[in-house]
Amino acid sequence: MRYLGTRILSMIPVGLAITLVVFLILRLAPGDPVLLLAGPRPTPELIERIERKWGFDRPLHEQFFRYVSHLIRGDLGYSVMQRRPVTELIALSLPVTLELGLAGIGLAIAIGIPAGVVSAVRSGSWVDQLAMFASIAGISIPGFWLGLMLIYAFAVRLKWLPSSGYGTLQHLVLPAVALGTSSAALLSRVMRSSMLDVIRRDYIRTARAKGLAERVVIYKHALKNAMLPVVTILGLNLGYMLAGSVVLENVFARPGMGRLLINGILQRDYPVVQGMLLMLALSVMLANLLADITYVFLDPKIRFD
Amino acid sequence: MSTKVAGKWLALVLAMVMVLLAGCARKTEEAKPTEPEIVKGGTLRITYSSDPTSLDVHLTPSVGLVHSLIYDTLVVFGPDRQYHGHLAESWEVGAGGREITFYLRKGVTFHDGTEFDAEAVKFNFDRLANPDLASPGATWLGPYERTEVIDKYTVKVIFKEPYSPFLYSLSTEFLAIQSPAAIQKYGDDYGQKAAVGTGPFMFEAWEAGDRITLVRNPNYKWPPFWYENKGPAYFEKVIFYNMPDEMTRLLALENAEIDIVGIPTHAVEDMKAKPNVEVYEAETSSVVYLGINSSKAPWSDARLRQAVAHIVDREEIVNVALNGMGVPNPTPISTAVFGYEPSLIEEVVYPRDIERAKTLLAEAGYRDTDGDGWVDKDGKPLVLEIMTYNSDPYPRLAEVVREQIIKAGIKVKIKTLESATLLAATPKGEHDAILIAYGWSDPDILYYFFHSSRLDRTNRVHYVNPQVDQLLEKARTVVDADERFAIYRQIQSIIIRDAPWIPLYTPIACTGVRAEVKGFKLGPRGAYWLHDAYKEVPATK
Repeated sequence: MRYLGTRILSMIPVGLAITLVVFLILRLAPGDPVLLLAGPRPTPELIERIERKWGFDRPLHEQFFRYVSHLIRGDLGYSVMQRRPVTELIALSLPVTLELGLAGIGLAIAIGIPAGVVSAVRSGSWVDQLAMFASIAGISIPGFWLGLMLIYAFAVRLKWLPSSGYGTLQHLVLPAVALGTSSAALLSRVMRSSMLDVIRRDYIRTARAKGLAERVVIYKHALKNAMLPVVTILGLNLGYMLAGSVVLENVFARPGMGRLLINGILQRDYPVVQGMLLMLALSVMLANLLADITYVFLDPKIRFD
Repeated sequence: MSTKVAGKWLALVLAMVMVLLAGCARKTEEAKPTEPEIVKGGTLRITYSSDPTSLDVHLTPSVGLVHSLIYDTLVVFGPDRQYHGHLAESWEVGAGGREITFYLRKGVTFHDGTEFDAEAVKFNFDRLANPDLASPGATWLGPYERTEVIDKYTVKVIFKEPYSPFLYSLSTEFLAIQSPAAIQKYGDDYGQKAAVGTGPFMFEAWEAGDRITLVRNPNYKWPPFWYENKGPAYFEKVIFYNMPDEMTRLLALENAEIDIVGIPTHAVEDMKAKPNVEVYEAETSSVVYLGINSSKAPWSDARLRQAVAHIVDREEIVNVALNGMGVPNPTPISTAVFGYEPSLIEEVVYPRDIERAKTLLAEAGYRDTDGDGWVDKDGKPLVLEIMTYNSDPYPRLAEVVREQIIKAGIKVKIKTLESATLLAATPKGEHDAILIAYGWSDPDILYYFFHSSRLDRTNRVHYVNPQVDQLLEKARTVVDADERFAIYRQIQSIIIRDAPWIPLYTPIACTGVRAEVKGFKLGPRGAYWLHDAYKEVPATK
């Protein structure tokens, strides 16, 4: 438990460091929100008025400390280009992204793990070869392309599902498939190689020698031990999932965090980009923590001290 | 009365009824084919690519269709390309152009039930001009001084000096009239959670990042004069869906999930071939131009810029890079905007002539001395680095322009940049050239591009010419349209000769509309004219 506490506490300095780096990078990048806000005919007076209004006329360190002092109170600032509190924007878009992310991961697990196990157990068979061919294809196909192809096939041609939008379960199917496919492919390969590795171990031979049913050997003894690298990949994959959802949210017109971030960057909407990147960093850290905790359940050799 | 007589009477009555019924049936049968029935109700679905900053026109740097459906303006730009009264029925210019008196339409109410009057106009203009609000739209007011309420339906706007582009300003939604009562009631939430105007549609909901829903204003009876429909809009609702991806928008249109979508040039042929989509075309108020930095050597030598002007082939650019979706335009004003002067083409535009270009280069000291095909001076080749946007169609456009320019022995480098980065780079003046576009519906915009006071901002080609400065200043104070036109003609003639800009073409905007939407029109500036539009009930599949 102390380990957990330290891990969680250590997220605070990391979060602050990320905030500082993002803050500086944004201000070093060319372009600024004031110019975009001023429209096509900016006059010096208008620029000055806008800068004063949003506090961009202050020295950088002052802006940063003001931002952090608000941050500590849970205030992520106010979007320059959308004129709403950043927390409100995140609250609106987080469920959209979470829904897609979870559906994508769920799909990846539901397809990738069984495919990997079967491929390993029946290694060399046509099932294995088919699954591994499919996984290469799954890893190689870019998500946005797959997304557009899915829209064309299932929305435009077959008319089974809506092409884009957000709200119902039907709206979730295509983006979840587009997002989950490459993760499923990756998972199945990791699962397969890890499983093959475990199956050759002595304790599996012992289990078989004891006369245990092959099913029990595979699912109880082998699978549990083979899961460790898969959990690591899943944890790391979360970051990839978020990156993938940025693209897919655009393709499927879903009002999620990825799109908020992209718009924020294009419009130089500093508070939005800062808030979003901080949230993304936190969720990646949380995912890794979750993966670490899962290890303990899977492998008794690993313990928190 | 005997039963026999009663029977006769009954027969007569029955016969009369039958004749009447038959007549009725006949009538409706005949009416159908001649006059298609206008279907009232239903939802019009439109897309947008990123959320507006605000629905409060005083707080947003750009306005669009959403604003134009919620709000009315005092003045509208009609199909005859002239300004007409709208919420202002007429106006008078006084004090040598320093004052304009507006006579307002009576009986107009805001969506919240409050009345539109002179006080509302004053409230809106004063709020827009208020420095504390830091309104992006404040520049549209020009040298605004104040607004005076003469009586309930008469209002006078007073400027510090005459301001000729004001009618154009008034026709944009930046100067649309919002309900003063609503602005006071909602405070900071106005524009985000409420928006109250006098327009044909009323704000219902805005789910940030996802959609904006408007409902019909049942009391609307003051559409601009060119519409046949004089009452409320036919559609019950208009929903704007946020769809940032171009491909997704086109698929949604094809799939009948969306009714109206702007079409990029590369997809026009494809969409025209679809049976359920009508493609509408309109010349835009934009000009795409090659701007050359006139303050940086060696391009500060006008002969070099003129040489480039002799080389570019606008027909080829439009055909190769744009699939023909543009009008070759060598003048700095769009073909669709007041001030466009085609007679300048014969008179001053440099005709395509590579030999003449080479002569001009030679006069400036650039010759191919070492026989490698590239001109040089003091051992250095002539290089033009063109910065352009990284979005369609600019990279393609830049390639075509490069292929043309290198024929004269000038080396061309292309640098594609994201728009915010490119625009932020130009004030430093370290660039050779930019290949970008602007869209504006009044020639006053030239002030911002060529006046020397704008060097650190929008004078991106760093052009300095005292004569042009003086003419630009004069033009904005001249109210008489003919006199104004003459001044802008002179300005354009100088700019075309000096060639800080080599204007290339005016883009044609294409809009894809579902075939079941009838009565849709594109206005002269490419605006969607929706008040006569309705949706035919689609045939069952």
